[in-house]
Amino acid sequence: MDGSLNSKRRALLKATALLSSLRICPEPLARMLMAEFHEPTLAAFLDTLLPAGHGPGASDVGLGRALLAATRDHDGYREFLIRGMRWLDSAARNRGAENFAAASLGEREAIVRSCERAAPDAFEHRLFVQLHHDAFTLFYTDPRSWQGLRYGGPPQPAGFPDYAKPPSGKTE
Amino acid sequence: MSTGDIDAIVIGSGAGGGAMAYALTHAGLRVLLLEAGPSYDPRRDYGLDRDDWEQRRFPHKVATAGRQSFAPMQKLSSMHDDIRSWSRISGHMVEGPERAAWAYHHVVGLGGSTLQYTGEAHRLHPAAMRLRAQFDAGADWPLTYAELEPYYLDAERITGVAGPPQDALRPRSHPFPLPPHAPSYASQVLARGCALLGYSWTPNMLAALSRPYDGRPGCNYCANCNRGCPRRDKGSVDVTFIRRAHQSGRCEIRTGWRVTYLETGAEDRVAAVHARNGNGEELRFVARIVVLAAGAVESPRLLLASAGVGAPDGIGNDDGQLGRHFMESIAWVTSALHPEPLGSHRGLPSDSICWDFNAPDAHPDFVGGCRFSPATAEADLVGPLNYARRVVGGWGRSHKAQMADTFGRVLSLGSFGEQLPNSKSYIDLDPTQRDSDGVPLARIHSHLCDDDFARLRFMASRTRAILAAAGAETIIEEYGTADAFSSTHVFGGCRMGSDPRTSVVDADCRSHRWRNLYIADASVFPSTGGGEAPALTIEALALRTGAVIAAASVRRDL
Repeated sequence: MDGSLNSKRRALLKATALLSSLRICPEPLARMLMAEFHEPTLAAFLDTLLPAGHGPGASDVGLGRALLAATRDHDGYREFLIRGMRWLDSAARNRGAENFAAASLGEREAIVRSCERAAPDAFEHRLFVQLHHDAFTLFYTDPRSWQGLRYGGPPQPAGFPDYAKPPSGKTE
Repeated sequence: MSTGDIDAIVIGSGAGGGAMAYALTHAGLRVLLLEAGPSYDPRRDYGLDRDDWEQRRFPHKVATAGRQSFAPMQKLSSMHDDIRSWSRISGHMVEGPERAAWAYHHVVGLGGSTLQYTGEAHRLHPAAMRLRAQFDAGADWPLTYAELEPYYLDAERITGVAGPPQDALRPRSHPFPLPPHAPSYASQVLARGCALLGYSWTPNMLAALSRPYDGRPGCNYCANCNRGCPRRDKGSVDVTFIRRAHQSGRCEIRTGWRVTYLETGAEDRVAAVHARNGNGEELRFVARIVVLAAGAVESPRLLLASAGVGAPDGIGNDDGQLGRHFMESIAWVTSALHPEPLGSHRGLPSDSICWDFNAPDAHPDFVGGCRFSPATAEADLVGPLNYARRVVGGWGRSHKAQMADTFGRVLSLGSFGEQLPNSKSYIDLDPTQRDSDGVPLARIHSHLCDDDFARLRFMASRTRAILAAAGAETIIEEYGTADAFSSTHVFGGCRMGSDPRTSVVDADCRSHRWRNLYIADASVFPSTGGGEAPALTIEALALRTGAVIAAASVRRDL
């Protein structure tokens, strides 16, 4: 069941896109769509890519919301995301879970690994590549993610005046 | 200043154009400085204090990709598989059967490529200026190191170069204006490796302030000179030469003006400079003196594209030398993981250097030297995002654990080396592609010879050896010139020489034929040097040419 959206949902998406183009309060509707159908799936996927431990994980920095905000003007991306989350939920159901978010961490990792290893032109592989790229970009440009790395950036305005010494255990 | 008041038009505002504008204005001449790109505000434009600083390297306002084209590149040979570019995560970086044309890295803007350079301020090895006479290779410079030395001093003083008290290879008549920077902790680790191998490892000469100077603050070692320096402690020409030229009151700066062609006139003189701006305005600028300083790709292009009456093959191309003798700096970078936390994202990008193989005869098997210096910043491995993508890879729990364990442990070492001129490396006009003004694009022909590959192989082997001796264990990424053109330092195309049959300009960088035309960029270099960064030599040459022009102007010879 990873095919196209059904007609009702497609109509709603088109309406959202239209409202978005007119800039008439589009975000709550889009958020509603994601919240209703797929936001927990997206959050679980991102937490599988970037789990908590050795610093915060994806949910700790609100990565799902950040991703939606960063792509809010990109209707095609939203459709891609929704289709992808449906694919993940379907894959989880095939493994006996209620949906992707309800699957165990091990099951979720197995599903993500199958996406990563799928043929390059397979939808699930493209989903993995795109979300891996976007999630990592957003995550590692969020200073909260630097907590586990002993990194005290951004580089300016403070610079690194301790540069000639061995790094201490604290953030540098 | 109206155009009627102008003594000299300087085309291009990089290392050469900026230094030339300074030299001429401080000699009392009135200068119009034409720059195709915009100006940059260091505090506003360089977003190193932003959370997303790592996502963009230098904030180009004018896209540089596609401003030149590349002729078909040479076939890759399996003989050189040991010096291919590769990553342990993504494999070979060049997939096709030919060398890749990655990029000619440059900046279109006031200050040119010095806006994104690391500030390396090298004098050429004196022997590198005598390749033909001493080693029967390449070409000689028509002037000596001693003749250039006073201008090196001026360039070092104006840009604020910090350097070591001794330089055995390059005689100095005065010390550097600033003391050297202390090496970063990562560079201290590399020093241990060099010591084990018996190599020297000394402070690099850098136009980055080791203490406040010239109204600018000292460096705070953020490691990101390549992204632009918001503090202005790096001696890019916009905050040094051009600032001083502007303060003289005799320099009019016009940004956003693209020169489209030079108009020739009677008595072998360039009569006018034609330029357009982004509003579609087109102007004809006239002055007694024209100085071209657009770099080793764009300067030959403009002269070739200015073919017309009296110069049917391009200005300065009477003997077919224009665009010939184009050279690129040969480069190699190896990045490896060190078992010890280094905090290698800190410090100046290239704060130390090994000059042991810099002389043209340093290696018995080929002519042309090279040098070695830290390259973690050059490799752009100084932030979490690049670690995640290029060093650690993967995802999930193991990725997070490895990120925490790995960050700050990459140690990169780079090497730059000489390329000798060859008949297959040159610049010409693209027969099919033109820019928005209708001017044909410069087309880069890049070719490596057997000696270049041999030198690259030596550079790679020594780089790996130094890293191993320093304790680095796992190589994660290597890239170099063997399979890709990816050069910032380009040279030749308007070679300087005594013989018009083999060069374009004379020892004063004046066109052999066109009496009021001078060139002030690396296109005049007869040789590249053994890996020295060219900016300081470009500046010193421009100051010397500026002095020649000023003296001729006083004599009313121009």
